[in-house]
Amino acid sequence: MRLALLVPVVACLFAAPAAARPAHPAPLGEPAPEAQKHFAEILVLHATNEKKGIDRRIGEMPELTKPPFSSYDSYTLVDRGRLPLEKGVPKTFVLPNRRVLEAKLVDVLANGSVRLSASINQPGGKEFLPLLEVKAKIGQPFIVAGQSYKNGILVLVIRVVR
Amino acid sequence: MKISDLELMLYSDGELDEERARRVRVARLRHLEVGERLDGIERVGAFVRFWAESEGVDARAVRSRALRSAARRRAFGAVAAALVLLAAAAEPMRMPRPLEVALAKAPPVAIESVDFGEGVGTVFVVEAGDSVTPVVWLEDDARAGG
Repeated sequence: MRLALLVPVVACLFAAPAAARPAHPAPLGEPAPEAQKHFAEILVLHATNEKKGIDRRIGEMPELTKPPFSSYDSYTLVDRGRLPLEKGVPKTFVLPNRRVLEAKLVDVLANGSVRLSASINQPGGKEFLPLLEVKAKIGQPFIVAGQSYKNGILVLVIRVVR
Repeated sequence: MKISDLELMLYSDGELDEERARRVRVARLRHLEVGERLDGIERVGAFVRFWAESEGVDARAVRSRALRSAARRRAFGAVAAALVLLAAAAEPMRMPRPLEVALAKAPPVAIESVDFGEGVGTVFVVEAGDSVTPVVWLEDDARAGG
């Protein structure tokens, strides 16, 4: 009789800590991916054919030397932004052409990737790019280009960083 | 001693060696039932020979054709088996292993959906060195500011 009582008690003692632990605990000193702060880093480039070359502040960007970007010979960094992202909360960034870029962290994935949604709107006007959904690894850029601006176009280089 | 029908047919056709033919003769003497079966087989044999002669069937030629056909089937079977073995050996080298498929590298950035609204746009990638960067290109018109 005492043995019959002892077995469930011992089983509970072993099971309780295991149930309380997460399946894959984060290493000590490193917060869980959900808890880490994410930022949308935005470079706003102005592409023209003014024979100025590529602005040094842009840094290493070999994509600008490849078609169709190579059809412009000058790239100037006109603005840069760093939006703190919160899951489900849209953040905005005003572009030089007065359109508004809105970015929202949709999800933080387990493999070091995030799902981000973005849109570009014209205040008081129509939506220019109603929706863009991207799954990106941290630090990997994607480009939104083509908006007309001062005898050239705007090239937005967007990456999510921590 | 049990003598099979096949053994009796071979005896009737004179195709048994001396020792086996002797055993049939002994069994026929000792067991009446063996003699009756042998008589029946010989009657059937006589009927078949009569039919073959009346129809002009060359039993020797039929038998040799049957033997050649069997040899061809055996040769074809051997070739088919060799081809199957060759295919089985070659298959793992051609097909990607499931583990490799599972570990195929996912792109670092993927455009999952785009809505261009009333505008026009396109999605493509630019390869530069080791990097592959997705690009969403918007066709802007007079709507642009600046």
